[in-house]
Amino acid sequence: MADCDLLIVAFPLYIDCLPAPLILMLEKIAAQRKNNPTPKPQRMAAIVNNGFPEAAQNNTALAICRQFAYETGIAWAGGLSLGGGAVFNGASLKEAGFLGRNVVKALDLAAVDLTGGKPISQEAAAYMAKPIIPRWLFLWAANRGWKSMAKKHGVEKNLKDKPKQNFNEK
Amino acid sequence: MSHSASLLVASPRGFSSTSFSLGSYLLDKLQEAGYTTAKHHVQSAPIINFLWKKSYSHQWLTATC
Repeated sequence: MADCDLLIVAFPLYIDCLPAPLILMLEKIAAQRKNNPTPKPQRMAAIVNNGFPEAAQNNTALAICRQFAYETGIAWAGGLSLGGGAVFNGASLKEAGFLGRNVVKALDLAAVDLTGGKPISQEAAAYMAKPIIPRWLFLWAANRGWKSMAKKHGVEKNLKDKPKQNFNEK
Repeated sequence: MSHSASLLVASPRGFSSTSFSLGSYLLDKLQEAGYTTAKHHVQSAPIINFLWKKSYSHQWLTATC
């Protein structure tokens, strides 16, 4: 991994940021590159997905990745940002059919860009950022999912609890 | 000259995550275009710290697919 020409990080959004283990990993890569007087020329691309209807929620995380690349001397090859990634639930994109059509187009375009030595194009990024399903349908399904999970764990009546407020009242 | 690409998946769900599906699809396309590829799952932070102290090597910090 340290010697690859192209590093691709793929991660879910964690509070507008990267998951902690990935941050730690990137810090260690940065330290190693800093200690190496002639680090290998490398490129880096990122794929971020989140549980919101909007892909734009990933912008800060992508900016962090771009800044990491800049500060470590790695060429930034662009990023892809997906909203509502939970719809796929880890399934292979080859099995996603209609729902995955824009994501597949985006990744196909990105592969052509990257193998051609270019950064990921705006066109690819735009395909990835398209909503997988309409916003109202996503919110309906997400709410249903939360309720179903709460019922499974026997806390469906506690969904609107405000623990901090209750704590202050006591 | 052959190029190489590494995928770093940083989801706690690892190789059954959406992050892996997306990255894996892209990496497979790169492989079809002649790239040498490798897929890794970033382990939890305490494991990374422990293994880094032991080895100072990236290769030991991730699980490889």
